[in-house]
Amino acid sequence: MSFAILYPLSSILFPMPLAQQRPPSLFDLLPEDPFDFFRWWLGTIATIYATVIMLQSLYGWYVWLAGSDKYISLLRRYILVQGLRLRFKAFWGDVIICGLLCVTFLLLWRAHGLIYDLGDTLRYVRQHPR
Amino acid sequence: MSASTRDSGEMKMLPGGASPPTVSGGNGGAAPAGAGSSPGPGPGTGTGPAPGPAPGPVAQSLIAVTISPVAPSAPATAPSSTPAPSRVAGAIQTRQLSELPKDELEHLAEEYGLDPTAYKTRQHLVVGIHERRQMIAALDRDAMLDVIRWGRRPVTANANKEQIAQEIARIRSMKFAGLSPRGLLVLARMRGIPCGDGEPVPFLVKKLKKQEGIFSRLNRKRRAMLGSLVSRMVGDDTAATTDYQFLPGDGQGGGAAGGSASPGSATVGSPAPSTSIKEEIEESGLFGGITSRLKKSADAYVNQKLDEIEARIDRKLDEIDRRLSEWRDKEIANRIRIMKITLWASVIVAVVSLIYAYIKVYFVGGR
Repeated sequence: MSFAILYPLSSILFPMPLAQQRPPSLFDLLPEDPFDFFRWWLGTIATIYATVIMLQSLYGWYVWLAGSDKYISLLRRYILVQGLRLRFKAFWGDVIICGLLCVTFLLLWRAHGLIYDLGDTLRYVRQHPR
Repeated sequence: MSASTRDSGEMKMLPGGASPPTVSGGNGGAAPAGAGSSPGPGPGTGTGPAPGPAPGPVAQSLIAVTISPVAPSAPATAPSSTPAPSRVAGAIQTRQLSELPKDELEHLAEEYGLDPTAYKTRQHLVVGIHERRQMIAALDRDAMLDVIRWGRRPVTANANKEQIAQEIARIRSMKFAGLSPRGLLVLARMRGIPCGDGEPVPFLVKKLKKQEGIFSRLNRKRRAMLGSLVSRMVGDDTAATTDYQFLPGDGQGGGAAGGSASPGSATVGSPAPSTSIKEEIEESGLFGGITSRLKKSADAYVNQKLDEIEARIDRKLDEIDRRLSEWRDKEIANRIRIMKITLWASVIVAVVSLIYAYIKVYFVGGR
């Protein structure tokens, strides 16, 4: 199994054997592939940021709506009623598009893995010609 | 019942000892053991102490008098919705009727339709009030409600007998058309006419008219003439056409019995102008009749305005709800659109990344 998809973390998770290690140079600290470096760190930071913001927001809503005030209780029921009155038909087009985009994204992710596996195989073949 | 009553010391309440001190159950409690000459169903048959208009201070004190310890096994105790008073209730500080000031006693007697000047002493008045309360407790509640409907008095459908009786005592009309025989019997008894159960209607009417007295009749005729004169001047001679409606009580809407209260209205069961101004003047005099008519007109106007305000508030609430629904739909559509754009960007970047990886793997040969 290839861990190429975990490229920025692979050097930490799977370090090179000690025999192959040499003193690091300045170039070793630079990213091997600037695009991979960009997308991985962008993806990581954006995901963590969005998750933290979303959890913060959800917790704030939960604390506010969990109040025992009678108006909050009324509001809670009203929100529930509004949610039940929500009609799926009004948004079904966009929701289906979002679902398909998610599937596409997962397929593309999987395609990345396949291509990296293919790259490993090619390199092995090139390094071990018959 | 009587034993426990004696235990409570109510024997001291009746100087003169005209009747056994068995008064209790003013709110539909125990049946009077010696209810005079008024046979009929016991007070507990249909008169639970239902919530109704709060009685006045005098009536409150009277109700306080009725709280007496009753043994749970008393045979005359009717089932009631209130917690059964126990011997613990004996500790409740009750105000004896005989301890009431004279003016309160007189006011109480008037509320029950008694003439306080007809009683020589205070003790006689106390006895008279007791007997009247016993008589009221023995009356049929449905028959009393018949009188209320006939007299169009403002009463809640779940008012207790004493409240109903106080309203009946305020009815002065001598036109008995439309009153049921049992209602006529109740009215006669409330006006102090001794009569049995099987008295014929003409006999009761005759007795009632005889009891009115010649001067009262003359006064009534004079007021009737004045009423017809005012009615001709004002041009208002409309008779009652609307059904009687009970006042809205606690936990119920108006019009529980025969009423046709409109649901959703804020002004259910208000006594609408029911009688002509002529009849009102005949009953209450010139100023009283006009005042009553003015008051009813003002009430009707206020009720109409309240209904309009309520309808306006309902419209506003509907508008708010509609706008909120629109805002909700718009907001959700917005969020989904943002999510869609984000997904599109992610997919595009993923496609670019895939092409980049493919080129790098196949053509550059590295990773």
